[in-house]
Amino acid sequence: MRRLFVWLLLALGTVCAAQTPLYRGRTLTEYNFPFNGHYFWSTPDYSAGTVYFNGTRFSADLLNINAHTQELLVKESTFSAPVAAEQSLTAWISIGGVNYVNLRYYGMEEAPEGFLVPLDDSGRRVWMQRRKQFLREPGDHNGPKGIGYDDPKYKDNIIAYFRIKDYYYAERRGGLKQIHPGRSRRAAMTPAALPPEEAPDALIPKEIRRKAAQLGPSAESSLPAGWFSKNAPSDERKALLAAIEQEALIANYRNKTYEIGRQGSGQAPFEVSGTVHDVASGEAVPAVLVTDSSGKAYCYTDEQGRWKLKLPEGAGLLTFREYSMEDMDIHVIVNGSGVLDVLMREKVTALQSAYVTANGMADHRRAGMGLEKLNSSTVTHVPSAFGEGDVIKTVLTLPGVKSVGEASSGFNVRGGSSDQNLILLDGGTIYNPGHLFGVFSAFNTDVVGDIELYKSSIPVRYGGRISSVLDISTREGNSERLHGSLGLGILTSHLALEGPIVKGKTTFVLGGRTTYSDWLLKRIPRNSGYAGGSASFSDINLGLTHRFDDINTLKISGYWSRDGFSFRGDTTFRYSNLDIAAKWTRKPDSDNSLTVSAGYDQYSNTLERGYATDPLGAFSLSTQIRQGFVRAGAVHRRGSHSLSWGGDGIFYALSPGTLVPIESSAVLPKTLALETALEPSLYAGDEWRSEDGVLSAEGGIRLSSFLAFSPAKFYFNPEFRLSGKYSPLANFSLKAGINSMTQYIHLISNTSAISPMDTWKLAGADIAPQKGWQAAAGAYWTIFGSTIDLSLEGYYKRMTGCLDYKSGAVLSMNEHLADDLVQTRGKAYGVELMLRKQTGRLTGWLSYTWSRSLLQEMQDRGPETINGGAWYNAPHDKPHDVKLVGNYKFTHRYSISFNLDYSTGRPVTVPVGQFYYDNAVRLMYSMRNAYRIPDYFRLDLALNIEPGHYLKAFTHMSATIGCYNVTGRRNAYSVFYTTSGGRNVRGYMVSVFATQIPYLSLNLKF
Amino acid sequence: MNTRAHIFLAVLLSVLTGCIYPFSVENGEGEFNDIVVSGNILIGETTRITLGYVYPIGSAVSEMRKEFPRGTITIEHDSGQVWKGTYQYRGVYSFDTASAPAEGSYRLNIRLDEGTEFASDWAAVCPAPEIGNLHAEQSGGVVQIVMDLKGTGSLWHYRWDYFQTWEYHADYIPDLMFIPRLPEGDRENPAKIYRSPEPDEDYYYCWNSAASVEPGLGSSKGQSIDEIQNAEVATIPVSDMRISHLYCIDVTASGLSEGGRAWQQHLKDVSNDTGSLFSPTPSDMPGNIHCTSSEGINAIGYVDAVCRTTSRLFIGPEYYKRAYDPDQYIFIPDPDEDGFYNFDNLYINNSPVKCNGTPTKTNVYWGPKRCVDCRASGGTKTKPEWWPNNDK
Repeated sequence: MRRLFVWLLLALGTVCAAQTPLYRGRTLTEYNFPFNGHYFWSTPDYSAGTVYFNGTRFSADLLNINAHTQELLVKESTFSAPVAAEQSLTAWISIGGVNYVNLRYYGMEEAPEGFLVPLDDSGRRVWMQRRKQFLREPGDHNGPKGIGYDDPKYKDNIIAYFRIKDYYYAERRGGLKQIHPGRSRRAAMTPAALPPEEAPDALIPKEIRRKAAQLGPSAESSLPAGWFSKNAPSDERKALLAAIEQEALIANYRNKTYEIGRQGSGQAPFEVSGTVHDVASGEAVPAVLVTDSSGKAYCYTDEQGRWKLKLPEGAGLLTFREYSMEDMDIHVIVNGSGVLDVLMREKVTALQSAYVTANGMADHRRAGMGLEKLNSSTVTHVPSAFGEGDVIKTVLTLPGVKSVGEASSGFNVRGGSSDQNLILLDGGTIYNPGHLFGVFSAFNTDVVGDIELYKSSIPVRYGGRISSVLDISTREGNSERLHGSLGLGILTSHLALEGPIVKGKTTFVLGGRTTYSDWLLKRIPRNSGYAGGSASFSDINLGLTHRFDDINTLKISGYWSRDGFSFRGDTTFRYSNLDIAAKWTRKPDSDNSLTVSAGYDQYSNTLERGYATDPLGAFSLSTQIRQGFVRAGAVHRRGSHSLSWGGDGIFYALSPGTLVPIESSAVLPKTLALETALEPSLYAGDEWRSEDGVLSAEGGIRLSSFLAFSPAKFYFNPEFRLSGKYSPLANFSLKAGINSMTQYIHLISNTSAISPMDTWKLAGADIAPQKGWQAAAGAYWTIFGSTIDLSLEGYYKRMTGCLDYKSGAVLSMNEHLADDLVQTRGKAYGVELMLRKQTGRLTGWLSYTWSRSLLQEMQDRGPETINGGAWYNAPHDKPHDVKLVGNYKFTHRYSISFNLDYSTGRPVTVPVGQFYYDNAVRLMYSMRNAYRIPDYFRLDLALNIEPGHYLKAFTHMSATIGCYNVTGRRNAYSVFYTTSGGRNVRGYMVSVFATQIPYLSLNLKF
Repeated sequence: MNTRAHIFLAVLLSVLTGCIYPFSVENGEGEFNDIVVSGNILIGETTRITLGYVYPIGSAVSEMRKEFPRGTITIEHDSGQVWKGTYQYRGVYSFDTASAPAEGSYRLNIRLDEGTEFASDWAAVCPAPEIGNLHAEQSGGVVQIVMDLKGTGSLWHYRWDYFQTWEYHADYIPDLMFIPRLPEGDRENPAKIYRSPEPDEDYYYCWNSAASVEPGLGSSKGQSIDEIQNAEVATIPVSDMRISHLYCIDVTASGLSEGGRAWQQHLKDVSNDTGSLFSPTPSDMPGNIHCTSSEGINAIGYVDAVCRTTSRLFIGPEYYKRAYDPDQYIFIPDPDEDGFYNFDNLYINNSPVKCNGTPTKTNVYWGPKRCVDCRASGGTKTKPEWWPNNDK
């Protein structure tokens, strides 16, 4: 019952003193129920009355009863917020001649919780309790018994109402038994008469009263004079609060101004800290922006939902913002240091999901640059091919993120190649983030929690890649009750379950996806190039989280995926990801935290050439990466500094190739030497912010090293991170930063996109690591009442040690692979302009990016040097890039999402000459990547339908009807030429999604 | 499933249709200094090396046949023996290497008339593989001609080409021949416009031939035995006229060096096998011929010294399956609008096929020329000397 109330009233807060609870309750932020009635027992008006509370009788002017929570409400003045007295300490109330008795206070266990009114039923004693139940189905309750609204759009506008019901109990052998009197009998009942000067408990049966006598004598007293009056002396009020504290009084407040700390307890500013949890699931809510009313003091909650601010003395307003949670504002009076624990509620409407982040003013509060945050809600509402919410495709809608084509698994961040992105899922490395040729990403949005993409200022705790970090964490799971979701799409289905194993302690999340795409692939025309193919994938996520106590948390997560497909003949491809990780987090207080994690990652792929094609040459070729990792990191906050330090180690065991014959094949088994290496790193960093918040800086050093075994080779590369922010205005900030990174693992590929047969190679004696640095600067301006964020970021990046391949290179089963590779240096630069609207019916962002990404071979190999040693376009170099992503909410039920994408065509190498060789026409190609395919343009539209917002409903169905590539433009993935078997030259264009793709996606939550 | 569902399904099925579309080939511009050297040094037979130029993409075939590099080409053995090439036609130089030793190494030296010189790397002689089990087998709607190749010595890489010859027949031996260009008054008289065929006008039997354009390439490297099984030589649809009567394929196989095989495979791939989602980014691969006189000029090509072996296979009509009834193509001609049988103009691409008795206006059947003249299908009356039957 109590929890239900929490659900409907959006926000709850708990205020605690530094060590002992000051008051522990819930803030019930004012919520507008225009048609929903009220929760008071009879009338919203407060009246004078008498209270017997915690062994003391009080008289007060403004009393009422909450019939939903069965709590006594006491107001200080007409315009002040009511105080909800703890029910278990309230014995009885007398308001306007009506007595309300808490029979449980007197030990009657079988009595319902809350207050009951004694009635006279033709001489017999009957107890009546009025309950107001919060419901979310408007149904047919639009009548006098219900809410009393008259709104033709009530189904859209009303999401909740109170149902009123009176329960009657007759006394039976010293106890109570529920009865169901008829309407006329109920009408004849009258309030039980009370002898003069008698307390209402005189109406309680004698047996019960005898029990109550054991509770101790009741003392006659009254509240301090003027306590609840308008002119209450504050000192007296505070004195009473102190008394309440002494008695461990627990009270609930609605729209209350919270007092934090004791007066005179120290010198301002005071340190206020606390936690933020999801009221429904009990999960900690990370990345909540907590700010004071001045906007100068702010912080984000960490993974444990903890936050801490330094606040000036006196009254203020704390705001809690997180894009997927309802906004919360809490009035506080800071007298000293203290704790404020907050519960937030997830936004019910899914129509406001086109946010990257709703952290208003967020850019003005952190020194770091290039951080983009997403969540699963955003992902599911960005239109995508076949309607499946896709993490990678959503990431691609962000400025500075590009890909070489629609069906490519990887992505490119600010001119970096696809292997330069560290993709983490719960700390485990994902080497191939795509399913089904890259049509779908490897991440199940049902279990994905937060998604963070670091494009520029990469925190010092991350390392190993030189372009970006995509850190994806799965949710902990609902700690209160079992939930699930089921999704059906054209090609895929997904199912997820989550819930408590030990309530409040241990939770789980289980998700899985699979595909049934073969039915479609079998219908592909022969001339499409995919005829005769088959494809399938599946993946499973499992997460277990156990909270040992308020300090220690252990999370174990696992991910497994499998892909298999064949294009033609009996040649098949398979690859799989496996990640297992355990993370222990210890947060003894809000200033210190320690995180230790360990895990095992594995990526393997296999190519099989079947026996039917070549009996002697049938083989199975596989490569594999295995890595074990240990990470430990600590954070310590002191004053205006937040220090972090730690270390990590990764042990690699990379199998570059294993060839085995199939059946009676004559292929000789062959195994390339296992590559093993250790990558240990240490790091330390600091975040500093001036008291007024105008200046802030982040800096750190990461001592990165790499030891390759057989042959032994050691690399040591210190990396640096530095960024700063200057905010001359509250809504305007300037930032700059520089960071350097090192990468010891290379993707070996001669294709533009990540292919299933790509393999990886560790740096070693023959191949140096990749290194890179990036300098960036930006301006951030928030206008129109914090509704629109404008940002302009520029960057310049240099890279060395990137691998390219020689013409005709053999990349598979090559014992001397380094001889076929060349190392290149790269440079990338660009400007990203972004406009983002986060509130209102229309939300989304518009971005324009101008950027270049160029490569140059590092060594001179004479005529064979790539492009003669000149700079050439990287495969993902697309100078102009426009993205528009938005969501327009018509009503709570209906919204449309749209996604527009335009970019310059990517560079390609095309034939520029032709000649005869052995009587066949052959092609001579241009300089590498000297030409471009046609520009890319795509518009996607989706209609999102949320049939109901009923939280009490067992199931919740939503649907998305959309169309990918509405204009049906045949966007080129690549352009190629063929000589038709050596006869004549013909040009072709490969278009992955060459027409409109309508889709329908159904999702059921339960 | 109701109609609406069917429509929806149809829309879905169109999703991935036609993923590859024609793309206009833009005529390239610019000049290329590179020359093309194609052909291997053939030990034990006449070597033919062809020189050519590179032309802008989109150039017409006729344009590419106009000019060829001219100069002096020699084949040099590591013993010092030299064979000088003789210019034949269209850039082809021939060398009498029939008695060239099968041991040692060879290289090619080129000196163009304008003075530019090229030389290939020394190439050891690759022994010829054995061709075995050359046979045809039907697989679905095609006849596949496959073989096994067995290496000798240290041979691991192979190339094979073929030359196919086939005999085919016209549908009918005509009863009559049309006499064209008669005076206008004679054109209405069936007795005058037809004649009997002369003995040398037998166009029923024809032969045709074609060489393979795309060489087959294979490798047994990495296998425990130096052998390739079921190597595909050619694929012929079962309805193809080539196998309607008698078909012969001469398969020539040679060894290749590892570099030569890689180069030829790369050339083949980038010319035909690009564009899929995971195709390698195309590029040019350097061969083993280098310009020795100046920089900036490349020679495209890879020259190996190889021995070749040949095997022959005949295929009868047993695989030929074609639902073809020539009678459905013959017809009795209609007069023109003036009532004249103006065959010269109306039926210029047709011929009389058969006649029942004396020709009249209504009893002479005509048909497409190919029904009675096998040459209309591209063949000739020239029968190979070694053809194993008595057709003529």
